[in-house]
Amino acid sequence: MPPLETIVSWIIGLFLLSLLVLVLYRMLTGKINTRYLFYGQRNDGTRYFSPERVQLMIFTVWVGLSYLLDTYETQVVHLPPGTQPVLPDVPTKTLALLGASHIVYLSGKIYSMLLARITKGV
Amino acid sequence: MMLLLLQEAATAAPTPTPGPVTWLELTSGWVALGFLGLVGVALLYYIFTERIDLSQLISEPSGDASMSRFQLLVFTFVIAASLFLIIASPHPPAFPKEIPNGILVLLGISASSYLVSKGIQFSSPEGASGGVADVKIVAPTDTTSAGGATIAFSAQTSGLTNSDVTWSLDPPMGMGTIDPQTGLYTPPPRPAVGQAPTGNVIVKAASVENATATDTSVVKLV
Repeated sequence: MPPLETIVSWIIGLFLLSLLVLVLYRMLTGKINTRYLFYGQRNDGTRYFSPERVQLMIFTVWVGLSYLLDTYETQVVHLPPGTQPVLPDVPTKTLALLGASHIVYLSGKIYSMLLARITKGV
Repeated sequence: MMLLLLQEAATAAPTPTPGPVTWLELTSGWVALGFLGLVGVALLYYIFTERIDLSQLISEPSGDASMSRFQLLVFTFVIAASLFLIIASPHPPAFPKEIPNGILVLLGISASSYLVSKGIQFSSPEGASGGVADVKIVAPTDTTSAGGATIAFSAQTSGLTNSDVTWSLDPPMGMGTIDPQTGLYTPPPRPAVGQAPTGNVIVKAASVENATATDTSVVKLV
């Protein structure tokens, strides 16, 4: 019989994987609401397709996947024997890129807000 | 002299080594594992059967999906999976001693951006109310037949404080019925003699709060 630690690992792994599959399936079939995910809202309440949201989503997925891959490579595959694994730090460049992506997203929001105010003559 | 003897005794004493796992420790481990495993299975079962409703997992109160909430969901999964990889790696199992600053900064950027974006949105009354009143029909399928399966329609609303809608059909007679409250469409019965009705019937959902907020969907009777 496998040791307790191995069974715990399998149970947690299966739980996380099942949860991920369930959430992804529900999103793809529309049962988790994703309406207007790529749409911004102007100050007057109207909606517009928002490229800044698309880029934010791409950066989010990229940062997430690259961190996961980095953890796997440095803490599982290439960890020297006898070393205790730790959560790896996020590289400064990645943080800077994500920060820039958020600035683009927020700038888009501010721009659309100002545009609506100028149009209304407020 | 006494000190020297004590020091010698201390250095000569064998280092305590972890003893074999007692039956009590083992039983406690299995009981805890069984409990957590059952909690995990129950959670997944309730989510699968929709008794735990995840439909608004990444939604704002207005009904629109939120990119910030989506980002938090992605980061939560990534950090949970990273913790799992570390704890389940082929080394002695242990929880990480510290959370790196980079992760805290990452989550900080995400949360700050969310706060600023809410500030921008709520700087106008229209943004605070969730925008233009809107209704959107969600249909699991658009095809059925006379005497066939029912279709359970639902509606998502935004920019409305009351999310209730009224359901109706066009034409109102002869092409089935719809429950005005629940949106359950029942196709017409199959006649014993003659041709079963076929064609399109329009399903309409109208907000009870704002009659101008409506949506339509077409059901094909084949």
